[in-house]
Amino acid sequence: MEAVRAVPNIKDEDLMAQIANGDKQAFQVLAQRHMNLLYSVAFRMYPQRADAEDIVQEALVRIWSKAHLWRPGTGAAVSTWIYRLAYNLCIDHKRRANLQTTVLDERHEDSSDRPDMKFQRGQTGEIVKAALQRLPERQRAALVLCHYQGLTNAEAAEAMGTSVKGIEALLVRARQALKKELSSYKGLL
Amino acid sequence: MSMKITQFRKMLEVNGTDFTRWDADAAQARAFMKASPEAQGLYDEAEALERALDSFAVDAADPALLDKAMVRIGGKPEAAATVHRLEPRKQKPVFARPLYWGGAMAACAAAIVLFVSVTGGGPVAPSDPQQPAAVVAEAAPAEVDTLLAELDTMAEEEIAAQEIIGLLELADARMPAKQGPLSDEDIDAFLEELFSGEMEPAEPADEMDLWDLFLEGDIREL
Repeated sequence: MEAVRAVPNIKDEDLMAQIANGDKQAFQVLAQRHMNLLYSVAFRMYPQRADAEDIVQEALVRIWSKAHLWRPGTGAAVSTWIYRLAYNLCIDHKRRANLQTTVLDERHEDSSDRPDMKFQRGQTGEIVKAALQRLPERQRAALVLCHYQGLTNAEAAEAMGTSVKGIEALLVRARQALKKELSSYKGLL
Repeated sequence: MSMKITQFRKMLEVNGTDFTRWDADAAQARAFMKASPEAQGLYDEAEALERALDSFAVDAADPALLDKAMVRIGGKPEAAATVHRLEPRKQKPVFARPLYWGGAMAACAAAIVLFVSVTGGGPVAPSDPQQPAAVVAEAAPAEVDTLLAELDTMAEEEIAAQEIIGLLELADARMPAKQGPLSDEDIDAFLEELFSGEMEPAEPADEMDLWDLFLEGDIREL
């Protein structure tokens, strides 16, 4: 895997073209580049490691098998495609597995800050995680893409197959709901 | 035009506290926040919410995921498979193709028409002294009309054959998961679905549309 990391910066678009021709090394480079973003979207949508890993694996396989459908010069970035793929797989995964969205069985380590701060931040993280899971899926997805992944509203709209106005409405409702819910925790906000 | 507090609140809820996301409104919002304690309060609240959101951290993905995916992907991606599937399914001999017989029949018909028009009509002998010339002149166009009608029928059969070939290619494209040539059962099932009106026969404009169809898992109303 180290050899793959050492490959010079090739554009995602070029990698997609190579993948479409069956180039596994190009696939490895692209997958390495985007695997973490796929995982962070999947985990924030469904915070159970096994589910998130299933989604990531499925997304990687689909990138490989559907790479020929990628057409450069259409204005859409490869990463936006991948986000869209991740979003749709999250929705499909939920539908198939009928997940219990409020079940939280993972605790992710945060290596920053002092131990007491770390503990406090960990607790806050768990509360936020649970509050996010109580949001409707599309509100949660909009927040994950725009706040956590840093997509513009237009990119998020493309990834979710909706309009920019739609994304804005989702973001407003998501932030209002979270603010209301988290305000009930003393000292959290 | 100065910003209003309701507008400022709305922008905060849409874009968060990162002014780089506010585009053209950013400078105006900064100025408004300095001038309005209420706006500053709203901004502080939004910042607190974002700090809380950021406390939900996610680890990096397990690198083994890529190894597992590499095992799963196996052979060539679908593109290569598609190319193979779009090649002719069977190389039939030329005389076994419907277009061959259609063309052959058309050529024969054209030859007959030519013969009739040149000779003035085969069945009516022009050398027959009992046969008035006017009868010959009337009989020949009737023969020509009959032959032209046959030509039209054959042309329609050719068009139908082309349409069937088009439908076979559409059936092939509609069943991307299937490897290898389609069986007769596959084609029958496809045609049944097509003629039942449950399938839109028009193909997407290009492969980007196919990609969209593939990705379009769940587009719901807000």
